[in-house]
Amino acid sequence: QKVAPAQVSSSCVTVSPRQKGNPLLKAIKNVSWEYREIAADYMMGPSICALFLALRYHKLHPDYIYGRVQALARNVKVRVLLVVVDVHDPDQALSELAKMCIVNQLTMMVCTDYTEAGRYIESFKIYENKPSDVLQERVAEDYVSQLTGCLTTVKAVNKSDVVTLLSTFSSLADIMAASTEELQLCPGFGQLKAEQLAAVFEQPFVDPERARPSAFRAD
Amino acid sequence: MANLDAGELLPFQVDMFRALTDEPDVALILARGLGYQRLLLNLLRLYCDPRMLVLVINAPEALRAALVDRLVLDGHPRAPRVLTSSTPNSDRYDVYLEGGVVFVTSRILVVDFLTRRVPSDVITGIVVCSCHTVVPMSTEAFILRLFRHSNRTGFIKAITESPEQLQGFNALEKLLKTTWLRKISFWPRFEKSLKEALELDPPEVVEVKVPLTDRMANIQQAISELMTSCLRELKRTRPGLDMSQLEEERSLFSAFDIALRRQLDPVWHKLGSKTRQLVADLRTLRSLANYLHQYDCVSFFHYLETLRCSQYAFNSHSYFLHLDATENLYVNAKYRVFETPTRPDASSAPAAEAAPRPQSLQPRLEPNPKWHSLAQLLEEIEELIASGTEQIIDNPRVLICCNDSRTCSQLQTFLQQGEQKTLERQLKRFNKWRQRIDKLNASGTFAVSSKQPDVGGAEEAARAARQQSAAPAAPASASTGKTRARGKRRRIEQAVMIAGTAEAALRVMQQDDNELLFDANGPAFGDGDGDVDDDEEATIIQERDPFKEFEENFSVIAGGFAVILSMQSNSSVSKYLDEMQPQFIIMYDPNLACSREIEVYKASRPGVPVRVYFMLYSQSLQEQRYLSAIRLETHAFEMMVRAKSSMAISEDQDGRSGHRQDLENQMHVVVETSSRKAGGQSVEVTPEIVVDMREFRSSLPAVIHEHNFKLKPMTLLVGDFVLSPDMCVERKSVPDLIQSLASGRLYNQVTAMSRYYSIPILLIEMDENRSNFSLVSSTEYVAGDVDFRNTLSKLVLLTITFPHLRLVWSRSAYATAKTFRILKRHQPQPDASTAAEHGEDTDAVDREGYASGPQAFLRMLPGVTAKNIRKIMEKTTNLKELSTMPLERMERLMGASNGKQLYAFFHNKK
Repeated sequence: QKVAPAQVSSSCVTVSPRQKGNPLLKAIKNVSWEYREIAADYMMGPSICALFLALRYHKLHPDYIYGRVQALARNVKVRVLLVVVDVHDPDQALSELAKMCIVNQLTMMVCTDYTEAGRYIESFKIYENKPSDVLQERVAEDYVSQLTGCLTTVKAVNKSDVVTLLSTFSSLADIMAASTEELQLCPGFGQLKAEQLAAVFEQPFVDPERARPSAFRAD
Repeated sequence: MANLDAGELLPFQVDMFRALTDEPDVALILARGLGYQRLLLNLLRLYCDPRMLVLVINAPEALRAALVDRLVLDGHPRAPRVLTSSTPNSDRYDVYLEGGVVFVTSRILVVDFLTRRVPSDVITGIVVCSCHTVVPMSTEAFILRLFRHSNRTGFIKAITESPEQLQGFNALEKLLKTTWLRKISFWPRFEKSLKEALELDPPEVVEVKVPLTDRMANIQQAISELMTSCLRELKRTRPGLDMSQLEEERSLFSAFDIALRRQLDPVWHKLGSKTRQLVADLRTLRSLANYLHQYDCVSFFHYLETLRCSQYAFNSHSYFLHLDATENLYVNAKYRVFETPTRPDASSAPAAEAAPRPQSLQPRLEPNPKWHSLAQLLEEIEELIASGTEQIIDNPRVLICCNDSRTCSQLQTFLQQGEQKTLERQLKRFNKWRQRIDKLNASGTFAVSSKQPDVGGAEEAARAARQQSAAPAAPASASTGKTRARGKRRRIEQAVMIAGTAEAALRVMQQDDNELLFDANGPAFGDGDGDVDDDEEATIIQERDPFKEFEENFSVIAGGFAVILSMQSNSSVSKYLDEMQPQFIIMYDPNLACSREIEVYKASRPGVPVRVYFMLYSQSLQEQRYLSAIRLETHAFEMMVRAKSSMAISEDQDGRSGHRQDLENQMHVVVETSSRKAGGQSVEVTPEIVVDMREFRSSLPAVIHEHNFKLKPMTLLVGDFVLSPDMCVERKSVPDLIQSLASGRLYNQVTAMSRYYSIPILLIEMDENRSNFSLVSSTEYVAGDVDFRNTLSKLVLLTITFPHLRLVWSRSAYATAKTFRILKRHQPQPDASTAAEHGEDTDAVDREGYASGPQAFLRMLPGVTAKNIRKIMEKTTNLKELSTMPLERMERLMGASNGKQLYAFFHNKK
C-alpha cells in the first residue's frame, strides 16, 4: 500500500500515521504537516524522505530499523535516518547505524532531543528546493565584521582588540604596516599578542625552503 | 666561585642531576626557578656524541633556542640538530643516523616513526621537556608508545617545573602511565637539602611595600566585586559546575580559564550567550586586575574605554557592564587621569554636583606609586655605592626585573624622561585615539554606539584634555619633594642606552666596565649633594643588533649601571644573573620563578653580598597572586607526594619486559572470519588507513593506531582519512564544521571527495566528553525560526545537495576508531599512493605547505576566493606585501572586481 510520490503534497510535510504520538510533531511549527499512508515516516517533498529512530527503542528492538529500511523506496533521492539519542551509551549503536546507512545509502542525522529532531524535519522541508550556491559563498558582511573576521583568525586577537586596532590605525593597510613596537603601545596588547599579529603579516605564504607545487613551478 | 657561565651545577642541583641520570627512566618534577634549564643543559651535554641518538621532544621554541645556542658554544663533537616541518623528508633520516642530540617537533617525529624514517632501534633515549603537558592521547604520548613498542632498551626522561599543572584526578598516575615511567623524583622548594642549601647564606631581602593610591584601591575593590559577582552568576546559570577547581583565589590565574573551559567545553556550543559572556568577562576582569598594576593610569583608562567601545560595537553586553561596581571602576579610573570635578562641599560651588562642567576636566595624571619607590631605591643604591663600605663589590650593578616588556619600556621612559613626560605621552596617544573613536562613532562605523551612555563622562573629559594638552599638567599627588633626587634623575636620564639584544647589552656593559671603574673612583656616584657635573662624561650608546630576537625585553640604563629586564621570556633570567652578576636586584614585579632564580644565583656565590629589593603593592591583588602562586605550588607537591605513596604502579609499566606492549597489542586485535579460508577460519587482519599528515595535530591518529590500525601518513589533497579505495573521510570537529560550512570550504571539500571516491563520508566529531549531539544552541531555539545562518540549516542543505554524502557522528576519538573498524570490515585496503594522487585542482591549498596562519587570515579577506587564493600566495611574499600592492597589480592578480574589492578593504579609511 505504498503511496506514490505524486500523491505527496508539495506544500507540507507528509507524516506517516505510525508517527502518531511522537513528541517530535509538537516541535514542528514552521511548516504544516498532514498524515498520509507512506512507506517512510516523513516525506519532506517528493525527493526527501526520513525514517525516525529513537535509540532507546533501537536497543530494545534492534531489527526494527533494518526492516523499515528494506521497505523504503530506493528511488527517493535523499533518504534520511533521523536518530534521537536518548540513551547514555550511544556509541556502539551509532557505529553500527553508520555502517547500515552507508550500505543502504541513507543520510544519518543525529540529535539529542525531539525539539531538534523537529527542527531537522522543518529544515529539510524549507530547504528542499534551495539552490546550493549559498553554501559556496560567504555571506556579505559590513566592514567591521569583515575586519573582525580576518583579524580574529589570529588566536590571541579578540573583538575588543579589533576596535583598538581600528581606532588606533586608520586602515588595515596601516595596521599591517605597523611595527611590533607600535602594536605593543596599544592598550591590551602584550608582547606576545603584538608579536603573533606581526608574525602573521610578515610570515611568507610559502616556506622559502620548500619546493613550489608543480603547477606554479614554471613561472 | 663556580664557573656559572658554563652552566655548572650547585650541590643540590647535582643531586637533582643524579636523580635524573642514575635511573634510565625517570620523571623529575622540580619547583619553579630551581634550575630546570641548567639541568637540561647538563643532561644534553652527555649526549652530544655521534655514537648516541637522543631525541628531545616538547621543548618550547625559546628553551630550544637557548639550549641549542649553549650546546653549540660548548663545541661538542656533535652539535645538536633541530628538525621541524621545514626540514625535507629525505634529509631527516640522515640527521637521525648521524646521531647526537636531535630536537624534533612532535608532529614530525610521529610521522617519522610511522613511516620508519627514524631508526627506532638505535635511539639511545628520549627526553621529554615540560612533561606536564603529556596527557593521554597527546601526540607526545603517541610518540612514546611508538618508541616503546619498537625499542625496549632506550631511556625515557621526563622533566617539568610546573607542578601546579599536575593536579586533578589521578594526574600523576596518568603522567607516569603515558610516559612509560615507574620512577618519579620530586624537588619541591621545601625539600630539606634544598632548604639548607638556599637558606645557608640567603640574599639580603628588603621588602618594599608600596601602598596603592586611594583610587587604585577603589578600582581594585571594584574588580574584586565584579569577579565575585561574575562567579556567583556563573554558578547560578550553571549549577552543575564543579567549583572545587574554580575558587575565587584561582580566578587570578590563567589556569582558571583552562579549568573552567574543561568543564564547559563539552557543552560549549549549547551554552547560552550569557554563560559565554560570563566566561569572557572573567578573563577580561583578570587582565584588568593585572593591567591596574602594570599599566600607567592613562593606558589603563584607555583600555577601559576600548573595552566599552567594543562592547557597544559588537552589541554584546557584558554582564558586569551594568553593575554598580563597574561605575566605580570607570569613575575611579577616569579621575586618575583627570581632575576630580569640584565637590559640593568645596567652599563656593553648590551647583556643580550633578553636572560637572566640561572645562573643569583638567588632566591630572596620577603616577604609578611604584615609580617613586623605584627612583628612591636607585638613589639609595647609588648612595650606598658612594659610601664605599666593604659591602660593595667592584663594579656593582643593578638588575631591575619586571613582568613584561611594556613595563620594561615604561620604566625606561620614566627613568629617562621622568613621570610627567611618560604620562603625557600616553595622554597624547589617548587623545588621538579618542578623536578617531569619536569620528568612527559619528560615521556610524560602530552603528550601535550612538546609544552609548556616558558612564565615565569620557567624551567631555577628552575634549577638555585636548584643549588642555599644551598646558603643563598638575604636579603629581605623591611627589617625592626631594630636590636632590632631581639631580640624580638627570644623571640617569642622560646616561641611558638601549641595546637591541641580550648580547649587545652585555657587550655594552663590558665596554663600559672601564668607565664605571673610573666613575666609581671619581665623584660620579660619590656625592650625595646632587652635583651633576659628570653627566657629560656618561656614555650614550645606541646600538641595534640585526638579530631582533630579544628586542624589547630589556633595556640598559645609566651606562650599564642598571639593566631593566622583562621576565616574559622567562627562560633567560638566570643567564642575565650569571653574566651580569648584579649586586643589587630590584624585583619591580613579584615573580615566583624570578625570586627562586635569585636564591639559586646567591647560593652559587657564597660570601658575595647580594641585595634584593622586593617591590610589592601592599594589600593588592598582585600580592595575593604572588602568595597564591607559592601556596598552589606547595599544595601541588604535597598532593603529589601523598598520591605517590598510595599509587600502585604495575611492574611492567615501563614496558622494558614487553608485557605491557603485548597486552596493548592484544586489546584490540581484529579477528575476521574469512570465507575464503576453509571452514571460516579466523585470521588476524591489520586494517590499514591512509592518514593526511595534517591530522597528526589531533589525537585521532593516536587512538586509531592504538586500536591496531596500520597508519600510512601521506599528504592528502582530498579527505583526511582514506579507509578503502571507495571510502574517504573528511573529519570535522564542531567548531571546524561551523566555520567551514560558513566559509564555503566544506562544499568544495565534499565536491572533491565525491569526484574521487564513491563513498564520501563526513565525520562530525563532538568534543571529548561531549554528551550530546546537538548543533543548536538554546538561544536559537528561543528565536524559533528556521534561519539559514544556523549551522543545522546549512548542514541540511549540504546533505540535500550531496545525497550520496554519508554522515558519521561520533562522541570521541575512541568511538570514531570503533566506527572505522566497523566500516572497514570486509573492505579492501586503501592504496596510499593513489590516495595521494587524487585531487590536483581542488581547493586543497592548505595541505600543500602554505603557512597556515597567514592563509587563514587571507581566506577571510573580501575578494579572496577558493579560485584565486593559491595564485595570491604564490605571487606575493606575505600579507604585508599584499597590503601595499597598487590597485592595478591587485586587479591583475585576482581579477578586476575581486582586486577592487580587496584594495578598497585594505585602504578603507575610517
